[in-house]
Amino acid sequence: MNNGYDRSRHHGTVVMTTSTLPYMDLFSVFKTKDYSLNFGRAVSMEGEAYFIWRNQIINLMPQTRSLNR
Amino acid sequence: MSNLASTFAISSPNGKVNIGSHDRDYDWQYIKLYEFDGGINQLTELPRVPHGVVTPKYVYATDQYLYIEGGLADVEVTDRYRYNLQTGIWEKLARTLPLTGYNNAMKPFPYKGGLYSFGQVNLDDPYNSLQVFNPISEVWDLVKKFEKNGSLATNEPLLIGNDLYLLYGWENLKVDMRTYEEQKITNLGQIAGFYLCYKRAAFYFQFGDTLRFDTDLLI
Repeated sequence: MNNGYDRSRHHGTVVMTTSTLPYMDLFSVFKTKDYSLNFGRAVSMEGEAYFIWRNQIINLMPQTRSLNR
Repeated sequence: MSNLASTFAISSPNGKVNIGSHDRDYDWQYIKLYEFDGGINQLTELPRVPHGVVTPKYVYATDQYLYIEGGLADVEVTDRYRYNLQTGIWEKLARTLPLTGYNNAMKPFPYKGGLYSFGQVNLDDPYNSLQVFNPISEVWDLVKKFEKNGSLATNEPLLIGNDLYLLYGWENLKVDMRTYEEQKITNLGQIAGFYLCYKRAAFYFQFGDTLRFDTDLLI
């Protein structure tokens, strides 16, 4: 997967942008049943939550947070 | 880069997310730091922290600074640095940390305008402590020590209203942040690092499955 990471710019500033960090729907994450999800990190703040997993920053949109299994 | 947030991910009062990554596969000698601005969906790499730690003991943010303190470089270090969010410059704090053991990073969380941290402060003392940050003196003060050891299974303590959920998996605690009274709650089994709270529900991973619990059912 091309994640947009450019090793030549290790010491630069912007290394990734919107186009290389696709937002994913929470459902599609849940469907993967990928054990590497266990190494992701969830960050919550008022009104927002992100799940950082592999090279992706996933915006956990409020409408998908009410998912019940 | 296999895992963008391999070392840490924290929320900042400015609404951004600070991320740390260290990947031995790329032979990095230091942690890479990023700031994610969800408003414009942009990830920016920050200057490297001077003490070169790869597993910090404390990482937290205030309105003005991102702090990275202690941890492991080649050896355990006790230096404390803060990154000035306005000037973009790392500043060394005069006071250092005691040697605390770098393996157990403290986990910060905001509560009612204050900044708290939970975890094993010192490897010589197995019990976990709740601390509060004094922004004037820039030191962490002990709030309460809990007769509980081990590391939280989650990236952050789970705070819902005034209830702080400390999820280890097999034994879990709920702490009333108004009184710091603790209560044992439901055994969740072996859980992993992901949780998401929304209203009074939370999600977590367990052996590749995603489960949900309702906090009303935890007691």
